Amino acid sequence: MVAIEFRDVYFRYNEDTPWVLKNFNLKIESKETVAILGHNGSGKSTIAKLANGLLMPQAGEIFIDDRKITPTNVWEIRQKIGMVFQNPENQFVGTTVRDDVAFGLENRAIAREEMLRRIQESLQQVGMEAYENHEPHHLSGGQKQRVAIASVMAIHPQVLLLDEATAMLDPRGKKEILATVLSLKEQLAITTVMITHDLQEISIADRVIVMNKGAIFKDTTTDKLFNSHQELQSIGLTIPLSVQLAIELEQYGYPFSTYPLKQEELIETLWKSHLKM
Amino acid sequence: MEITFKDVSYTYQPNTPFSHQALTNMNLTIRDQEFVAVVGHTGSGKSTLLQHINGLLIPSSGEVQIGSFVLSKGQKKQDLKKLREKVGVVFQYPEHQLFEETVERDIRFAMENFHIPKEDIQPRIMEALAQVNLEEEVLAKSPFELSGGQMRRVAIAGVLAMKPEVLILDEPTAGLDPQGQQAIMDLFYRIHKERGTTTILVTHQMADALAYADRIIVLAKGSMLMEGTPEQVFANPDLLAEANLDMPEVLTLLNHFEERFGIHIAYQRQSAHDLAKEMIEKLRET
Amino acid sequence: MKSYMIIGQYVPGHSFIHRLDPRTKLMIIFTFVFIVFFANNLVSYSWLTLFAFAAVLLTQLRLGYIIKGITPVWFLIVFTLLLHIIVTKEGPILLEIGSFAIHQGGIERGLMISWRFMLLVLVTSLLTLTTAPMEITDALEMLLGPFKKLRIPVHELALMMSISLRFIPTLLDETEKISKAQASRGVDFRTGSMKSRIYAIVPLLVPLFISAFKRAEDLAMAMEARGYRGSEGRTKLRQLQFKRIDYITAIVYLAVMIMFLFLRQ
Repeated sequence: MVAIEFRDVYFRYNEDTPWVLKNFNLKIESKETVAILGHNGSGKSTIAKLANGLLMPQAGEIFIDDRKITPTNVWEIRQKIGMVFQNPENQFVGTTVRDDVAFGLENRAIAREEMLRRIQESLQQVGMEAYENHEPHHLSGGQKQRVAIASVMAIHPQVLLLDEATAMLDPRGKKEILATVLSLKEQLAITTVMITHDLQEISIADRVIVMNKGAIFKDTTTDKLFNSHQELQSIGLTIPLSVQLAIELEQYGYPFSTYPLKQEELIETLWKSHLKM
Repeated sequence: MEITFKDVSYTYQPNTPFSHQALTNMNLTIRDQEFVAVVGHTGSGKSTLLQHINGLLIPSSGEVQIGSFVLSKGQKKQDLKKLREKVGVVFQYPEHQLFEETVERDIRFAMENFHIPKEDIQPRIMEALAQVNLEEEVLAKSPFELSGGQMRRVAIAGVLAMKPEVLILDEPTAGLDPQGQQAIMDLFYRIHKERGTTTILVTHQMADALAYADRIIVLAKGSMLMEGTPEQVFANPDLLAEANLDMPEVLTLLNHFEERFGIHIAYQRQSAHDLAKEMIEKLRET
Repeated sequence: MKSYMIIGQYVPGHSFIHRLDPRTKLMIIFTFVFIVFFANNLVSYSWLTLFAFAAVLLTQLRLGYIIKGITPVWFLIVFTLLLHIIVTKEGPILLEIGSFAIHQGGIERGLMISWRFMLLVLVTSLLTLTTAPMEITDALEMLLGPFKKLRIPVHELALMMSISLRFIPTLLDETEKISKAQASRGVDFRTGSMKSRIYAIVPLLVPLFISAFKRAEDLAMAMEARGYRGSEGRTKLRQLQFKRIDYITAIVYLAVMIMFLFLRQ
């Protein structure tokens, strides 16, 4: 089944500004974990807002779960696709953690008993059950983002869409979010789309789509991404240290079938080739 | 300028149910022209420490000395403005402080407040603009028309134009993409070297602390947990873990390498190219 | 960060007063505000004062903290007192300096009015000290519920209030952050002429407004993405329930007030 599909989509913010997306096509299968990578202004965040019906394309069609987004069904579509935004502060609606998770449920007219159950369930999924009555200004950025994920998960969406959800977090917060997304992926087999400029994050994705200037620059699996490292550098993406080293080591006759994102992988591959020499 | 903290403690909202001690008996000396990185988990007292250096906070007890300025609770009121002229602060997300109608006026703002002679102002604007790598055309624009990255550069230019002797950087690269982060850190390092500014960098990026700092100060729960050269500090992974901090990526990689191959490679800010070369040379020796 | 303090800022706790339903507290205070104006002799004043201090004791908060919380209004209380002393020309003259005379009636009335004023401030500050702002909002939403029939947007007002409450700490932090950033750029908020001080506010207000608008925009988008579309067909997590202590409190309060009616002249 196809979770998200963009068909010949054109979008721009104003009539006198250039197209942000031009004749854009994208298909994300159900249960895939996809990272959409690109630097600021590459059009990656626009994709998220279009998929959620927060923006409407000027031309072309967008389908969620094989249903075309129209102004009349956008409310139902949003139940299928939950979105987490960049700024942890500006998406926390409730005065406490549980109120925030409840907000989306209240909007969907979920009965109170069911609400209480789902709040428990989704806070457990993100490991925030101990903070139910905490106020947002007593939480770290990472914790607020986990609450934002819980708020989305409580609606039981088919797709979890993270729009640069870690960009404003410290390293620890980033780790928390990655661990949370990874555990959701394992527990629930939910379709996950992560929009990011952080290369660390793609390690949990199966597929990586690199955006440049409003178009797909590269669409590949995570382990094959850095095979085209020169092209990636040419559009200004930074290559992770382990990949940089692997590229250098290759010149000394140590082969790498795939460029490793993880340090352990780099060292192990190096070890194996070393033993053969 | 040399900066000294003598037994400095600071308590927020003393004598209320919300009272909270953020710094406890801090003793610290930062030498003139030193590049110091202050690292610590959120809530470790980093921001509180910084704000003592330009008199935004006055110690609840103890004393802070910055060059010839002495800040302590009993001290009579002094001209903090003179101190602030010498201590430039780049706050986290500094673009939030922009408010003028044009970029030029925003860069000019601090200089005018500090009564910099009129004839110096224009050259300093141009110099600062070049340092942050912005084109002259932006001067006439509203700062709010610019991209986020450009706005940050404008805010930084406004601080650099003050020509401070001490530069305080509170996570100056937060929220930027990797390329932008690198560019901003290189910029500050260049200023530090060229002008001999005493530089204090607060950061979560251990890689930056390792790459730029002469000395690292590790804070935890309002006290100093450890201080020393990057080599000394990162030789203590247990203490770092206690402060909830990570090792820089390159060091963990070299540690993995050592565990696997039994070969030690000392990190001396080598590039990936040089590191690979060194690895290969040592592998071939064995 | 967090060096601000608000008059009557909520102090979490588990005292008797803390545990009361916020609606009970609201209704008591609402009626108390009226009743105070009917006090007209020393005995009835003392009776209400006794009631107020009993309530203070029941909060288990430090008296010093409560008094400190109402210091900003001391000025007003003293001002009221002086005003009455000067203006009122009733009763025997106690002191005469030139054409200026202080009458006994002035002192009496001044004391009474400022005492009344102080009771009001004290009792209302007890509400905010012991009730989380969100509870007050819930109570207001429920008490005002019937007005929905008159097309008064009670839900929207309550939501607005709760979002404002939610963002108060955020905006206070932000105000402090920006004022520190501008102070570091040489702005002096504390000294200088009136004109220069008013001028110093601009670099603070402009960034604050810009950021508040940005936050509002982000928040509106986040709310929309989470399916918010007004009060129609919503359910509610927060529920309030009167408990036994509320009924007991209501009965005691009623008894106190009946007693008060007898004590008046």
